[in-house]
Amino acid sequence: MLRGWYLLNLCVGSITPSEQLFPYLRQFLLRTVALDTTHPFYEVAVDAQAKLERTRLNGVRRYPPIPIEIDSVEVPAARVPAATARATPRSCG
Amino acid sequence: MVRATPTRRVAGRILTGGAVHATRCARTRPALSQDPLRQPLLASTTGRKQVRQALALSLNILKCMGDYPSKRTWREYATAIIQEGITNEDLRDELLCQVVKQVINNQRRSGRGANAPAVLHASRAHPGALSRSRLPDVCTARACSAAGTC
Repeated sequence: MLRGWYLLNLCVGSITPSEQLFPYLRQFLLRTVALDTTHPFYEVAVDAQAKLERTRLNGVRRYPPIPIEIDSVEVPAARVPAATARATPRSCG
Repeated sequence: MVRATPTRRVAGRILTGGAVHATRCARTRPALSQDPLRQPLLASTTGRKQVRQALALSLNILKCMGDYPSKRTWREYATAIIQEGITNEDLRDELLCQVVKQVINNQRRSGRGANAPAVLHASRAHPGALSRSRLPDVCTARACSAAGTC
């Protein structure tokens, strides 16, 4: 089940459902998110819900997620920005 | 004695098994199953090739989740599943429906460190309990890293 939630997280981050399915999928995630904050997969569902909205705006990805990205799903998303913020900024040039 | 013709056999199957199955499906929503699908979830998935791809997808999802024996890692299956969804536009809804179906009512916690979320919430509810527990190191380490406590 843990992997199922991770897989759902990865799927909604890469592909978008059709217009007919989108409200149902969002409602499923929102219900999991809103009703039970002590749900064991609460954080994964919050992350998946944000990814669903983002993928809808940006469109379908061209390539599947790389292994590092798949591994990062196992870390709650709320802590990923904090971890990257502590890292030393590198110049792009 | 009248031998049942193929048409009668098919009609009988539809009227008995098919009707019962339809009634059962109307009362209960699709939920976890340990076996791969025998037919696609969506009626819009038609055509021999699409149906074959949808059924292969359900088997891959089961293997990815650890509900079906496999030798490859779940990351490889996840990549293959998402690649299938990216390349095949008609299968996207079918893919998402199958994943949601396997998540609903799934009480099985498979894989290494699968109890990490439970340990994490237990440690939040009862501070200090985590250090006193004799849980496996894998679960403890994953819960600590998820909570950011160590």
